[in-house]
Amino acid sequence: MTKPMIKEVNAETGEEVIRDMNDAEIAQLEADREDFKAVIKSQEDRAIAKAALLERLGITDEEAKLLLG
Amino acid sequence: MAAGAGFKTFNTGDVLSAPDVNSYLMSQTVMVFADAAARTSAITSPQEGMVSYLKDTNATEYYSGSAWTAIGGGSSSSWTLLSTTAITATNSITVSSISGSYTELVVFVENFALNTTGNMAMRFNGDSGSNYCANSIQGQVGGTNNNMVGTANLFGPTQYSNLAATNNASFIVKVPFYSATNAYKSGTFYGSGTYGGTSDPVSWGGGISYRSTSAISSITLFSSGEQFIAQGNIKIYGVK
Repeated sequence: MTKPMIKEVNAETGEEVIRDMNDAEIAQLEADREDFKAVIKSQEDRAIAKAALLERLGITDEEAKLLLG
Repeated sequence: MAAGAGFKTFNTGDVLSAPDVNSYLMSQTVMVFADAAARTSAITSPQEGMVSYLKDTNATEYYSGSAWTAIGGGSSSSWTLLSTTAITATNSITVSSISGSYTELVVFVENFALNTTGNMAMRFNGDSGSNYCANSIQGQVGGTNNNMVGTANLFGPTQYSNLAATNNASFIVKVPFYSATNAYKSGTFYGSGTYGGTSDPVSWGGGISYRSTSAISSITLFSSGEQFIAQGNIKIYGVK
């Protein structure tokens, strides 16, 4: 399997290196990936809960905004 | 000094007289000073049309007859392009050794795209500690407006906008006093793209706080696991 890649650029000298990520960088990539997933799931869960609440109240999203505005 | 005598090309063998120096040479050159105070000290009677360059602010100015005025629009701020990095087919791009000689850091990420639908975020100085706070508002045509709250160990110009694969997006991050070593950093970001899984235009904007008293000397742009498509640029400007 191809390793994730990283590009490193020195702004002062313009030197550029493209290389495979090392183990620590891959571990960070995996941790970040889980972090992204968790936040997106949390957003999705919130949207589902909101839709369920609106349905229970029998109002639309626009009407809810009017109430809160 | 008699300014405005015109422009003279000196030829080999010409004798350079004092009047030539005063009327031509001093009006034909850009005078370089360390700062405005040094200029004031050196030129007690500036003449209309004189041009000077100030090293501390990188400002080129002309004398209007009553004041030194910035050339090119009257703004006293100046932008210096510190780095242009082509976005390549990688998962992460780090630009390091960013000069700390400016008052504001501005990062443009232009025309980037991911090879599959996903998200992007940024870190400073490679710091993956719990030192970031981001909050922004996202607008999505055809969808709902979302409050986007950042996580503690990164901040997301795009991380919760769920960008569509292969659709181009761009964003800007601005951090004033980025090189301060006695204060935490705060800044703003805003951008736009296309929402993942749809053709909905999406835009976002918000604030970031970075809990660090280290000068920001590197930025890292990374995805939620996807690869960048090899297109677009990261441009970093220093602003004075």
